[in-house]
Amino acid sequence: MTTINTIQKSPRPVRKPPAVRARGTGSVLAFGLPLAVIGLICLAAPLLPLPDPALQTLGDALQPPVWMDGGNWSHPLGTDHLGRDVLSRIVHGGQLTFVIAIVGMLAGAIPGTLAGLVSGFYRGAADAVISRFVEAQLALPFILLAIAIIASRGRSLAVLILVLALIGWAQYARVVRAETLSLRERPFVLGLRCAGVPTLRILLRHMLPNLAGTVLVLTTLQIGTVILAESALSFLGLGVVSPQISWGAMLADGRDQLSHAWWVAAFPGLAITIVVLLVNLLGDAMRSWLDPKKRRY
Amino acid sequence: MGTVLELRNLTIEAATARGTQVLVDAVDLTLEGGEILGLIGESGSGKTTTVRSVLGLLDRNVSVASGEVVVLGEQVQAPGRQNVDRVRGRHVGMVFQGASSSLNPLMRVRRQLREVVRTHLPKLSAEERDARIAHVISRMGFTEVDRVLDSFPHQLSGGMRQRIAIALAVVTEPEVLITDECTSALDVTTQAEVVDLLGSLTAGSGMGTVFVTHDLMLASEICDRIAVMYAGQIVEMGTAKDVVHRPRHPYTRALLAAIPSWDGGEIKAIDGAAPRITEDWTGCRFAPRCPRAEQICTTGQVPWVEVPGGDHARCHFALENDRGEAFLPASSQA
Repeated sequence: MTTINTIQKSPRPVRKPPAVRARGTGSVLAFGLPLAVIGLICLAAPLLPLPDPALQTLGDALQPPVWMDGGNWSHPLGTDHLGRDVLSRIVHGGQLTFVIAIVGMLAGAIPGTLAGLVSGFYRGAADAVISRFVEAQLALPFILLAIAIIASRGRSLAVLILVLALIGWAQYARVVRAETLSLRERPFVLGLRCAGVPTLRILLRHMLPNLAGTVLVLTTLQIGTVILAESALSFLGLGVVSPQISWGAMLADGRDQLSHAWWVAAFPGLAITIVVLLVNLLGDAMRSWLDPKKRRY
Repeated sequence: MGTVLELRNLTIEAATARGTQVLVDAVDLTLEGGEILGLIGESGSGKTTTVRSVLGLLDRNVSVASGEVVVLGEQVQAPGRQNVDRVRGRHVGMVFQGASSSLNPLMRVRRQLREVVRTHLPKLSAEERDARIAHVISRMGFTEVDRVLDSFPHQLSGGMRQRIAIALAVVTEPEVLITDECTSALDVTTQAEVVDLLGSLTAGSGMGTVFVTHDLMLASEICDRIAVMYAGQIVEMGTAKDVVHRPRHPYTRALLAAIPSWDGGEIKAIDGAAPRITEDWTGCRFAPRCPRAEQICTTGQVPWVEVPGGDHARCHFALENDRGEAFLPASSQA
């Protein structure tokens, strides 16, 4: 038998381990920074020199933005039908919008991911039960469910987030289950089982990180869905109500004036579009950033 | 060096929609420390099922119907009883085919090795643990230990990954190492590296290795003994030299004849396919494809015949045609 020395003579080059910036850092910053700036502005709203977002000045109602005829610098983005400053309302409304989007997304993502993981990894009875729940959830029209819950539980932020979690979790469970089913058959999982690594550790330390990319992308898509769902609910009077402000609620408010005062709805709509787009792009950038296979040295 | 692994009369069945299928039928195997035992057979012969049962990795509908698996004198598998958790990773290590996916792609090699060591040897200090990891990696033939340890799996070549997978299996110094087609996805040079490595790991140590493969010639290179499986049964068992040079079972001879040769002769494929074995099967499993088959082969039990020299074959005619390479099946002689 030849000895191991034959191998030692010709070690193939091992690529140098990281220490260099991963590819995608640029795009993560490009999308993450604006998002952080928007978030900070919304957070610091009370400190900024903006008029009170709830201050009604009926004499100034429906003023156009500053660059249009009749617009002026005291209301750069115009006013709504009650004379409230649109810019100030967007900045203040952003706080609640972000909170609802993030908490609502997490409230769906965490239980959904865990349900999908358990369902896909253990299969059998657990899978049958969880999958039927997912199907039941997906079969129910969301608005109907939201009306039923909010009507019986009353309107509050907690109930709103519960409703948003209910829309989201089934999606996560579905996708994570499918991903887990394929992941659990990978030889490295079998290897871990052979090595006697406890199941819980395999699930949390090996499966979950491998699922993170998928969940992250889903999460970013879901933040958009949550913002839109919140505005739909607010529009129906089931979500955020005055004097609280969210972008969705503003969008709903402005809808009636769309033909003669487009700015009331357009600017919160633009804010939603920009934020949702940035979050999606950031998610995409982070996926390749987090994946060691896609790193460049 | 004592016996480290024993399969006693192990029968494994699968419950399918078409009834019970026998995947492994009354397999008896013993593995000594310091020995490499080859388990050879075509796809579906039950070799993978056999070794997977040792670690309790059978599918849901597959179960041990009778017999037992004994590791270091302790029963780990028996009908309705499974006690593999204590030996998994600690006393029995396993390496699979598919080097590219046998490691967690998101974890550096060092962390993966640490995790296994920590699981089984929690009392080691951090320094002892890292020393052990560095030692096992250098034993795998790597010279740049730290660079390998700080790599992600995708930064390593296929052969390197397979050696890391072996390192993961042997870092706890198990008494039994099971390799399931672990060289099949590798090119010939890397195959040689891995095979040499397995040889040097096993020889003279207390560890016994089961080398599962479909490659008879490769097995004859490194194995001390070879067991040939066909349709769930061991049909021939003996020293590697005897099995390859003086095959006693028509199936082994057919396998050897199917190996392409240098002189450009025709490759002799075995006609037909392995049968699906149900509980009511009678006679020799190879009879439908056997050139030597006679009436007696299709009924009753086929004896496990001891051949002078210590080898065994499950064939009525195992004692005949003892002429080595010059052997021709009786049917073609007529």
